[in-house]
Amino acid sequence: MSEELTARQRVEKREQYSQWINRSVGFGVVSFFVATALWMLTDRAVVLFAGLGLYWLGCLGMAVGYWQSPVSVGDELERRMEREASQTTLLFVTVVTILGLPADVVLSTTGVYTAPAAVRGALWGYLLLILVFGAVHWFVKRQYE
Amino acid sequence: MKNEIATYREREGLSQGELAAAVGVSRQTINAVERERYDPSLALAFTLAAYFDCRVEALFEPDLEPVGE
Repeated sequence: MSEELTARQRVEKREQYSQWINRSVGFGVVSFFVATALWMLTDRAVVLFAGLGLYWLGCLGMAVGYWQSPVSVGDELERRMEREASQTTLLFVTVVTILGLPADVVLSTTGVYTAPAAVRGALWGYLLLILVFGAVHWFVKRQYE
Repeated sequence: MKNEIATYREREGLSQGELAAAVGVSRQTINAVERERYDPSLALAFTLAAYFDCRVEALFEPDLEPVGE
């Protein structure tokens, strides 16, 4: 959308779309939990599938909110906080991967210790995440050249 | 960054929320700027200066690194 909004309208739109996004997510999550509870009572798979469908509907509502909002849903301080949190998370993931993955390979190869499958899965998942970050970073960097 | 946002805002008799709505950001953003916890974007700095009808330099006092030789 390219409509010109006043500052006050931008704030109103931001609140309006944030509310839509939060309600969509809330609806999806609550639906899923309710469906799971009903499934435990009824043991009918269709209830679980209905819950999953409603959950995805909530996700879709969230995506529509982000796409359709004429303004950025978070203001500049919120975006800054998200960026800082993302950087800290990525730092954690990177440190754990750099230290943990070679250790896992050495320990499991020599037979000294084999970490639980969940831990090994997380380590390789982190590596994949770092590779995805590298690819996305390369793509973004190209847009500034 | 040191700034005079609170002084200008209080001179106009505005709350943080009213100033935030007038320049299109959240009250938390104005609060963080006033408390020097957050340096605003150039766009917000110029918007604030336009709102108070003053120059950006009158609102903000940056800690500049020495430039040149």
